[in-house]
Amino acid sequence: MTRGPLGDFRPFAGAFARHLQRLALGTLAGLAAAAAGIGLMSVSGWFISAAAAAGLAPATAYLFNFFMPSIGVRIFAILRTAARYAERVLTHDATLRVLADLRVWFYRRIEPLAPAGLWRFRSGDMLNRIVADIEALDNLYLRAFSPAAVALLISILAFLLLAAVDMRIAATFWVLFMLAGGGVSFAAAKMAGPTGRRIAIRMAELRIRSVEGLQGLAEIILFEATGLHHDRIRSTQTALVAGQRRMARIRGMSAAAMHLLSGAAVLVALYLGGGLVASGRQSGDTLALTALAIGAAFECVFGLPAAFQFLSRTRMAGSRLVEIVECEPAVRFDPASVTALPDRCAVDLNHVSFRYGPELPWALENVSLAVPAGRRLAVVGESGAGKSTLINLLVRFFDPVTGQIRIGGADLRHLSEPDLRRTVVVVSQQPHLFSATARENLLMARPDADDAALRHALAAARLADVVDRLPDGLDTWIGEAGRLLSAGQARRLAVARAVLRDAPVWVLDEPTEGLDRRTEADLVESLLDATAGRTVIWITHRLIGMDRLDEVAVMENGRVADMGAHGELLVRNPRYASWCARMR
Amino acid sequence: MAIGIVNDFDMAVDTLRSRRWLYAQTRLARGAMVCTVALSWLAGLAVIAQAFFLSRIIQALFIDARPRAALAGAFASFAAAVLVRAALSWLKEISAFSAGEKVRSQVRLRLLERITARGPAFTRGERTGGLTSVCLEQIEGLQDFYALYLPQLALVVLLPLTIAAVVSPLSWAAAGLLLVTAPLIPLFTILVGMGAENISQRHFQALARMSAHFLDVLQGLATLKLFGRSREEAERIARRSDDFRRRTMDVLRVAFVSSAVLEFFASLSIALTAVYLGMSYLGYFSFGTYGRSLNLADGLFILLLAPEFFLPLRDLGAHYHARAQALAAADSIRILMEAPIAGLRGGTTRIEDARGIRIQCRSLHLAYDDGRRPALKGASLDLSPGRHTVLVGGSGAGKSTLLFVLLGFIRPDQGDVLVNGVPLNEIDPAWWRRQIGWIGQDPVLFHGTLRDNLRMGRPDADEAEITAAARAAGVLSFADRLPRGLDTPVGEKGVGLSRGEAQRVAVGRVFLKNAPVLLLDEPFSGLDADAERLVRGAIESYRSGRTVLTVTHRLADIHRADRIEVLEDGRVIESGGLDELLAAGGPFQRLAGMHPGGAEP
Repeated sequence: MTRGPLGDFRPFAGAFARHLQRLALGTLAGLAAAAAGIGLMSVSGWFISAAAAAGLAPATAYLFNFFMPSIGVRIFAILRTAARYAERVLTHDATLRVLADLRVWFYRRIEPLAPAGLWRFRSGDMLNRIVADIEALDNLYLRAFSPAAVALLISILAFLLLAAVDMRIAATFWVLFMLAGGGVSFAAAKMAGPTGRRIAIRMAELRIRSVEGLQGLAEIILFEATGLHHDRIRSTQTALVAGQRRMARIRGMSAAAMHLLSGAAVLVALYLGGGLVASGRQSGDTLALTALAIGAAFECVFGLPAAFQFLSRTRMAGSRLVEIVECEPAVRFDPASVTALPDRCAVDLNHVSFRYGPELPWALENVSLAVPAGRRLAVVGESGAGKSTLINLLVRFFDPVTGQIRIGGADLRHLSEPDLRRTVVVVSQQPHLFSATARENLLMARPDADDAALRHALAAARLADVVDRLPDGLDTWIGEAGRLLSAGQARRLAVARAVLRDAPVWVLDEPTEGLDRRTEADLVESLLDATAGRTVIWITHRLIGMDRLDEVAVMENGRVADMGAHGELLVRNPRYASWCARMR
Repeated sequence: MAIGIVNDFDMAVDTLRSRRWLYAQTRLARGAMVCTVALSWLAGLAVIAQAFFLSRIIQALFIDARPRAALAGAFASFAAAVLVRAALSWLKEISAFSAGEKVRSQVRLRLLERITARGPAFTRGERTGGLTSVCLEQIEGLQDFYALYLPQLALVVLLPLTIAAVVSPLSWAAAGLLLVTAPLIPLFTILVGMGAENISQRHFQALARMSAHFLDVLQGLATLKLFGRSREEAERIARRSDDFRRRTMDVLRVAFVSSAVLEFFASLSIALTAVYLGMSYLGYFSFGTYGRSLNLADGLFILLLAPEFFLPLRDLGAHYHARAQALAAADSIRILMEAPIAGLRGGTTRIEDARGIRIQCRSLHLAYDDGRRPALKGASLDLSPGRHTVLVGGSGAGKSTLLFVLLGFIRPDQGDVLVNGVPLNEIDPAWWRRQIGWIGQDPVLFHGTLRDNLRMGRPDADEAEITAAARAAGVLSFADRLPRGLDTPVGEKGVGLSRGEAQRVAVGRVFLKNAPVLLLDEPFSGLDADAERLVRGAIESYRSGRTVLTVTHRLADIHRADRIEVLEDGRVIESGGLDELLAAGGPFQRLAGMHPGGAEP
């Protein structure tokens, strides 16, 4: 598929189109400011030239109408100020509006993809990149389009003004102006492209080295590698700086070229104008007018190389975003379906097989499990046994390749998304806590919950005391990824969230992984209490509390290798017994 | 979430210190900065020359009605001035870059040395992300302060004065007009800017907050989805974005007034200069020119310089964000540079004839945060050669702190660590580090090949020794399956390797180092059973005859220990053999038997 230079932005055009009027108004204000600047300089130049000529003789001086030009320059001065202010306010406001729309648009596009379709992008780095890419898009107008449009319109306006004096002057100006605004800017951006990419690579390298040096500082010191580490950082930095210096040279070069072209335009105008004046075809007061108008017009192009560079960077950001939104969602829910699910639901897996791609090995192979309503099943196994895949299927982030999953007798594929979410609650391995208050983090599970309900949920998760000790209790801001809470507390907040949700089916995904023993034991107790009477699928490789669950399924290589009560398995399955022994 | 809740007394003091720090760094790039100012000033002179020749040419062509052929010299001079100006602005760009680059590069290296000197005891408490951002982005953020802002601060005085100096011999009234309006500009800017100092800073702040919220939503998208709340979130994003826009625009509308004031005075003074000159020519004014009459060339020259008079001020406004950016960076950099160093000061003693190393900790006390957060409260402990000691205790008992004291990363406030009877602070730190093999919870592998990482243990090791260590640590068992074997590149945090594999490389590294003391900090956490078996086997074969301390909470480790030390609340509260401690029924019994539901063996 071929795309024009702006083709990569087509999917985002909607967000810009909705605010077209504001965007155009902002650019027009910018145009008015630039035009008023040219007006101010050229009228001033003309006025003093004409006045100087008229002043040579008292009679002509007396007759000279100074009223219009002297008012004119003052009006241009005020207009330039007002238009510049309007431009700034209008363009920034429009940019912020476009930005808001772009975020919502992008969110609406990726929401159905999440999380399966976004698997590749789940790392923090990638998400940061998405956010930065969107930001680059919303500056597209402010920093690239608007200045470029103003420069183009000014070139026409100045051409018309100069054409009134002489066509050759106007034509030379226009060619040199376009050479500066288009040619030099484009060439500078072209040259800066590869250098910019090299700088980005060096920067990434420097980041890796720095992170390494910080995380591995103990190793570096104990292995006496300090000198080596510093040398590496120094040489990476030297390479980075070399790229940046080249960038500065390109900037300097394009600035020099702009000065040369603007000087040449003035020089040519004076030379041609001199001829016109000498032959009497033009009055001499046009000389200052043209020279000053050309100088003022060229001010519009000095910022353009930066705009062009920005444009190419934004194009890369745009195509990365397009790549994401054009992903196919892994599952589609039927919004129209209405299924009455019972209050207590059994969960059945019927010969379920699944793999993440046609060329990849089976993650689950012919798995059949039946959990009657109100019974609790543990699923245990080493990492890679297929436990996480099981969860991804149960919450329908993916659909089985073959086989069928039923909840409360209904095929998962026939449930609407709200119905499924109401029925199945998940306590995940790494629950996300939002940058919000503890209350808000709980309320997302049940928006209408009152304080009593919140307290009950917190008590069930054994978190009530912790929350009471927070500076503002439930209304404490728990900050970025819940940093005010320890890992164990964050996990327990997720349990409280699940308790609030009050769903008939619970799926627990390694709820105690990475916790210390005491916290782990506490949390297991909370979970056992909270899930009494529910249908539970408890996925874990930490074999604690197994005797209190109804059944245990042992998974190996995507299959159910054994299944039975904890006591039976201990006797019958030596591998299971050895895992349990290891827990001690 | 108000935008920009700043300003209280402490902050003002800090800002003052940061500003001082920023100015102190100019000594790193004084030459380049002087050069930048000089080049810019010379470029300003070229602009004046350009205006001079331009006005002479127009005078000659128009008023004096001379043929253009007679003006070749003036045309050539104008072209030369343009050329010189272009060349100077090119050089200026490069010189300005150098000024910023010199400061950045040197500050970065000094910061690095400083962080290394403060040691892991410090980096452990900080978030890597935050520190990395200081080392990279924040230091990059210093560039424009030294490249653009500071030179501009000099130019803002130098260039207008130069222009006033060349204009005043022609007309004191025109020079006066410029000089009178000029001081008004900073005055008005300060007045208007008091409420809203920095436009772009605030704009970017608002953007950053919107982005932070959006990032939070993206990260939590799976959670939102599982709770069936992901659709509503779109409206919240819209509402929040709109809210941000409103707040930001309220601030910006005021903030833009300051630049409008500048613009207004610049425009107005051009207009007034033009009117003054025009009226003088027409004979309405006859003051300001020392009784002489101005010709057109003089007037045009003055008019052309009027905008140039205000240009440096406008540029200063444009570079103003560089100052705010640098101040913010200085805040974080300065704090890192000024904090005290907690590691070993170090003596010179080396224990040469050691047949083994005995370590005695005598009543160690240590508290973090200026004594507010005690971690060790009189911990005593003996480690001897050939004995495997295990240190157990709940989280927060002080295990990691004790290890850091032994490693020499942190100094106890009270108490002594004796190495074969010699206090640790009298021992040569480099020698001490050579005695220790350490394996942490989270093995860090460095950018390079597997072999590079192993070789860290002993840089002069030969091929056979590396292979032997790799075999003993179980590295070969997976490396042999890789197409490039030990030459396989591994990245940050051992990307491409599983945790168990990375841990085995860390073990191999320590084997190669062949140190008499082995300190292990939960070496098996996060490994699955197979990996644990491999790593454990490797370490056990290596242990004999050495002084070994393992921090753990695993029973499997405790079973294999010669001696168990139970640490609680910064003290060793119980110690002895396993049977002894089980029989005593004390704190160890509680710790060991605490988790419910564990199967019987």
